[in-house]
Amino acid sequence: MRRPDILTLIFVFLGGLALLFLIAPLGGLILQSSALELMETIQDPEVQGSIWLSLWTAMGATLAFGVCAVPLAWLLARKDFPGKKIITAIIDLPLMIPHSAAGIALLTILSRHTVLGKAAEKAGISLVGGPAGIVAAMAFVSLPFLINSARTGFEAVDVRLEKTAMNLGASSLRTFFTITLPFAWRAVIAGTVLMFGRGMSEFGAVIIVAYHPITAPVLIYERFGAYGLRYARPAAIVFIGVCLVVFVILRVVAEKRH
Amino acid sequence: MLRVEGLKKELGTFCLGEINLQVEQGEYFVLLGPSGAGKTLFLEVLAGFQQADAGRIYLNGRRIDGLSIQKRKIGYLCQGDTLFPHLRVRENISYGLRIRSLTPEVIRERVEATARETSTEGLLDRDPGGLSGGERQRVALARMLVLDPECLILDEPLAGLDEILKQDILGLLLELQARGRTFVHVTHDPQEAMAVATRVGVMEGGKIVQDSPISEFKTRPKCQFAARFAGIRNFFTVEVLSSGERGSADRGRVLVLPGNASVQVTAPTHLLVDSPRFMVIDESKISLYEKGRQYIPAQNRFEGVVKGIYPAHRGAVLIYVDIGFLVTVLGRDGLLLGKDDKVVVWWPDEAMRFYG
Repeated sequence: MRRPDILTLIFVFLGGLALLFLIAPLGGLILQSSALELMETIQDPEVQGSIWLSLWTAMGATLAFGVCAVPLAWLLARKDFPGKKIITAIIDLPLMIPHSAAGIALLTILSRHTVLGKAAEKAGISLVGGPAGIVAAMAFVSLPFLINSARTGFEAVDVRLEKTAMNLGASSLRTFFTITLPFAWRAVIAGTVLMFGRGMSEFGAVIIVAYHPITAPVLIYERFGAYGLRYARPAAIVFIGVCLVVFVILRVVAEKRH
Repeated sequence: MLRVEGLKKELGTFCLGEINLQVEQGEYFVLLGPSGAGKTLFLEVLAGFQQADAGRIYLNGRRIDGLSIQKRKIGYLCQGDTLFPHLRVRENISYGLRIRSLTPEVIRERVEATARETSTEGLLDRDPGGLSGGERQRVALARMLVLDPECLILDEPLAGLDEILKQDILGLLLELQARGRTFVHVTHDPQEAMAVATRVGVMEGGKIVQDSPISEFKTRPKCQFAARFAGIRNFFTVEVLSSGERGSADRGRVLVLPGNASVQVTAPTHLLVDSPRFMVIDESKISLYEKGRQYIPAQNRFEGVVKGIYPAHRGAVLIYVDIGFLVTVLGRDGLLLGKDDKVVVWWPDEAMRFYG
């Protein structure tokens, strides 16, 4: 058998270290928890409630804001307009700022003293300290993943196909849905999954905007602060397990749809 | 009939036009030009993907430059592979029909009729991914033809095809033209133009510098691009300085542009009637002498420097000589000449042809 070259060997070693770094904490979590602890945690209503809340608020954030994010991604991919570079930088901002700062920033438009907060209050919706606030916090920090992924997908679609469709009589809207979107679909779905995942695991912005109702990341933090590692660990394992299952399902569904 | 009047379009630093053009019903007009000449931009303006800054476009008497892309009734074949890869051939061809709220029965009939016209019947249920380059272009043409456009504009439709497939598609295009379709076909390949065109235009720097029937294109080029294709190496734009008095023994004087003003070609007056703008010198009738050789006629005798010698067909060589402008001489191989040698060039009156 041919021996691997030196470059491959070095990269396997370095890549292996990176992979080990990712796997080791997860392995430690699992190995240090007993099956009994895990079963008790799974049956714990508070844990179940927090995971369910994380799931549906992340899904809500992805759907509600994705409807606006995908058109924005298309505009960025296809149109040139003044301020485009600034807008691109603003979109990436949530990736760079501390998420606690993102939460504080959100409070300036969502709190009860703001126009939006007052309007929501009148409609019987509590933005701060409610699921709507959690949705907003999740969306704020995770939107760049969908916008950037979808933008890359739209940019990769051959403009000549779109032109051909329009020349054949298709309106721009029909061209988007019959030509552009089917080709960018994989990237849009990948971005959606990333947005959903990032939103579900958000802690910093969520804890500032809505400590209660309690989402899974906040619950894990709370248990760690109040009772220590031993009590936080099983909740963390259950949440990681749920995330893994959800992502696998979403990926499989997306691949089949494509 | 397609008529373009005073069309102009600026895109960045590139300026298209002013373009005036008329393509008659059933005519096959080929627009030739090097890359970057503005050919694709011109087609995009015709199809409506770019808005003209000035000018008017008429198709069969109907002004279309203000209409949307969808309403122009122009079939536009973009360069390269434009089949929708996620749709089967049948769905590709019927794409435009399905927008037009026709019944499935009508759509099926029209798709099958067009498939017969373009010999794509056997491909209807296949995926585009499995088709050859020629088959793909046939399907792309069928997809346009099924909508019965009033004019077909094709951007390099044979690019990337091998010779056999090119002949195949050219045959189809000729058949379609014979059935009365109007074509504007853009290419950088003069051979392709010769194969199908009834009229040829040449575009350079955003302007149509020659627009002539195919026969005239070969014999009376009006730009270097056309001249090169016609195999004419000594093509020059000229300015007649004096045409001489008719009937006298005087000779007219002609300045080659751009060139050295002190180097002037002379010609009999009857060749310079109507102030021609172009001159062609037959390379095979030009003679080359060593410097200092006597008994060379005085008319059109120039001293020059050999700039290069290149092999031509059948043992001949092409000698490029700078005589104030660059002239090409067809010589025998085995000449004891080298680069930078000083020589004398002479040609008789019958080597020159003036027109334009």
